[in-house]
Formats: sequence, C-alpha cells, structure tokens
Amino acid sequence: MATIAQLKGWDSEEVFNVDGEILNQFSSIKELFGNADASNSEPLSLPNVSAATFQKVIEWCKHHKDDPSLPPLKCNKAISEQIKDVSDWDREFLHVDQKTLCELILAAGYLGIDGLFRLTCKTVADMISGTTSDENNFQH
Amino acid sequence: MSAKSSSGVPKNIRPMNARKKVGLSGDSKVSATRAVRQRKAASPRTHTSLVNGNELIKKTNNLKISELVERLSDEILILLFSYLDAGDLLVAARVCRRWLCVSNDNMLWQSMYRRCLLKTKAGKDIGIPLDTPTLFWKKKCIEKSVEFRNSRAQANLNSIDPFTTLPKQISGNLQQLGVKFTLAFYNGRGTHHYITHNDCFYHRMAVSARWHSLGNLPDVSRLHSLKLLALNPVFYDQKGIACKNSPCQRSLLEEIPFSWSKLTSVDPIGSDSMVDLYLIHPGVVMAAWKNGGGMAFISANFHYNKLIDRCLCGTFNTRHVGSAGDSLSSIHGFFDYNATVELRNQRQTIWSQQFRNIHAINQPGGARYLDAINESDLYSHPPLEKPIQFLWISGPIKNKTEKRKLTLRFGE
Repeated sequence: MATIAQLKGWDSEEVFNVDGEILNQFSSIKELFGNADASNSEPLSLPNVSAATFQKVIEWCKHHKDDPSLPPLKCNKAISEQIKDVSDWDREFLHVDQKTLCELILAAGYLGIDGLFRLTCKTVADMISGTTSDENNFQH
Repeated sequence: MSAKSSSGVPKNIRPMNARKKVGLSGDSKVSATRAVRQRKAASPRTHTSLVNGNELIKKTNNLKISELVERLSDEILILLFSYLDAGDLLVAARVCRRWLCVSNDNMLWQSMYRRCLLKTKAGKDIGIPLDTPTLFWKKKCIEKSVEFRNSRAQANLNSIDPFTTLPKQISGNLQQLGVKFTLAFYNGRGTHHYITHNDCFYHRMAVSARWHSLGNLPDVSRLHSLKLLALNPVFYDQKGIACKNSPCQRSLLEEIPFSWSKLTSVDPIGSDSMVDLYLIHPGVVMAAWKNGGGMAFISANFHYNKLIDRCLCGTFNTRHVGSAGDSLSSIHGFFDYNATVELRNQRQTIWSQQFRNIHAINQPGGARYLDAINESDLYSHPPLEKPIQFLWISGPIKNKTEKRKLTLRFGE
C-alpha cells in the first residue's frame, strides 16, 4: 500500500513512511492525514515518541494489522477477564527493559493504539502485582 | 549530585528512593537520550534476555526511568491500576504520593466493588454516582469486604462437638479465613518488632502457634512488653482464599508485660539439655537457650472459646470483650461442670480426658482445684499415673534435627 504519512520521532531526523493499514491503527492522529498523498509534504514530528520506540510501535502494528477492533471495556467485569491471553509473539515483543516499556505505553496512549496500550498496561500491572511495596521497584 | 536533584527526581518520591538514586550517572535527560541512541545504534530489535519482572528489575536498576513513569498521565496510571486486584492496588498506593492519590480514585474502587463484592446485579449501591467524596468507594470496598469476611467466620458454627461442647467449625473457619498470629515486641523506645507465626496447629479445643524465627529481635533485655495479635486478611479472591497481598486487620489477643531478667530469674517449668522453658502467661511458653543464649522460641495456645470473636472483633490496642460469660463465684468457683483436660505437644494431643460433675475452687495464684461432687464419682476417675513418651523434634532450633524423648509422670 502506498505511503500516505511521513512521521518521525522527536529525537531523530529519521523519517518513517507509514502506509494506510498502519495509520488506521493510530486512532488519535489518522484524521490528520485523511486520504491525501502526504509523501511530498513535510514529515510530522511526534512529540512524545522517540524514533526507537516508534520503530517498535510500527513493528507491533504490522503484526497486528489484521486484528479485529477491540470491544470497549466494561467496568462491571474484571479487566483481566476481558483481555485475551497474551500471545507468544507479544510476550517476546515485550521482552524489553522497563524504560522501553514505559515509552511504549506513552507512545501507544498518544497515538491511540488501543490494543498495544492495553497490552503494555497489563504487562506493567503483572509486574506490580505480587510484590510488596518495598520490592516494588517498577518505578525506582 | 546537584545536577541530578535539579534534573527531575520527582519531589514526591520518598526520601528512601531518592537515596537509592545516588550514584547514578549524569544528568538524566542526557543519559536517557544516550541510552536511546545506543540502543538504536546496536539494533532496535535486540531484546534483553529477561524472563520475569523481578529479574528485569534487578538488571535495570541502574537505568533511570522514574521520570518516564512520571510522564505517564494520571489516566494512564488509572488504566494500569485497573488491572490490579485490591491487595496489589494498596501496595501500589504505598510507592509514592502520586500513586497514592491516583490509586484512591473512586472509579477504580467502584468497579472493584461491582465485580468483587456485589452479589446481585441490581444492588442498591450501584446508583451512587462517582462524584462522591474522595475515598468513598475505597472505604466502602473495605467495609463490605470486612462484612463478608465476618459473616463467613460465623457460618456453620451451630454444630457443636459433644465432647468439647465447642462449635466444630471453629478451626475450619479460622483456617479458611487465613488468620495468622503475630507477636509484637516493644522495646523501651517504642519500636515494635513483629513476627508472624512460623507454624500453627489446630487441635480439638485450641490452636497452638509457635514462633522460632526470633533472630531479628534486638537485645532481649530491652524488650518490655509483648502483644499477641491475630492478623485477619481483608481481601479474598473469588474462591474465598485470602489474597496474598491483602492488608490485614489486627486484633489484640493478649498483652503481656515482658521482662527478660525477671522471667529467667525464676526456676524454669521444664528444661532439656538445650533449652529452659518459662511460663510467661497462662498458655504462653517461652524457651530460652541455656547459658544465656537468648530466646529460642515462643509457643502460645489459644482456646477456641469465643476465639473467632476475639480474633476478628478486637483492635490493635483493645481486646474484644464479649458478653459477660459465666458468673464465677470467687469462693465456690465452677459448680457442676464438665471439664476436659488435654495434654498436647505442639502438634498433637497425647492424652485427653473428660471429668464430669465436678466443681472447682479458686486457689491463690489463679489456680483452680477441681474435685468431684460425689465421692462415688471419684472412683470413676482414678488418678492417672503412667509414663507418657513423646517425641520432640528440635528441628528449627539451631538446625539440630535429633529427636528427643521426654518422659512425664502424672500423679495425684
């Protein structure tokens, strides 16, 4: 599919060419581009996403481009029941240090990628659960 | 150092954590950028070979990520916290002030209330809007949880054991609720030392708990009081098992003045080649190493009589005082009662016998003299005199695993 958006991280000049299938998953910014051919215009810099993180986000989106859209979360059911099991690919994908994980949450939240956002939040929550507050070094 | 403290160590993190950051390199922004660049230069797909969270924490301890976590907005944190159960959420609340504020969010606790505590869908509480005062739903969750626990504790107590005349289910209910017994030692400067029981055995009439991990105690001569507390978990999972991280309510069972020098100046009530035993309170025995080696273990017995109420309804400072029990005449004592006497070690009952139609006269020093009402009854309870042998495993005691034999002799 043709490139319809050019994006770059805040910390680097490296430009990522994003096609429509992936852009559709960025629910918060896809409207900016519409159907116009953006290949000639200035690349858009994403203020909250670094280039390395963006690379990973795109990798995730490519793998999940055929996923059905997620049902909205219902608040009277345990959230852990509403999230399906983490696939092996995702687990391997999230085998990263905490810093990258944090950046991924921020990026997913900023770009509005629901699936990745839920997945990363769940991963962090799993890290927090079962620890005592003294052990809870997620932050520190 | 000065560069670091100005570079965004968040002010709301406890000083302890701030201290941990001492020794990290350089200005945080620079190091963050550098780390990103290095990772990119190597290969963006290189994954560190980390297996679980704990290992991950160890390996990345020297990375500075706190400011990244700080950048997570409150909404993201709430979503993150909504994956946690109640116990974990309360643990997260103790990490820093911001996490505390976020974890008190009414929406989190309301959804917790709906999914864990509300048995019917159309509960009357569900109509209460979210814009209630802060902590409303958190408090409600905790109250409701305690209410459920207490009603579970009182369940099935109608069936009475004819031998002991105590409800049969007491030990089952206590175990199901995950009640734990804790020692709280106080030293002169008001510092508390808490020790949770190491093992616990439920007998027919009483539960005996033992503490032998006393290594962290300070100098025993400085301790001056001892509290025996029951710890009751607040949150339970769907199967009714106490959550691992659940906070606990405490209920005072006994408060005992404790003076090491006074205790050990009297003759021990029993001894073997390694320890001397001292009675520090009725039902509470302390073992001291011979030759001034300090405290070896403490063992306490709690009789089932009203034990569930005593465990659940007391507070940290006050014991549960139930309805007035038997009015006991100071001269005549009990009259026409049955008494069941059990001889136990920590794990098992060695001998037990029931005496019927007896009366008891209080003796000086708190002892009671039991006697048969009729002379003829006396012969149905002949004095017991036989040697009883039982094994005493001193395993937890300084790693010696030999078995010891004690012989007791009962006479008139």
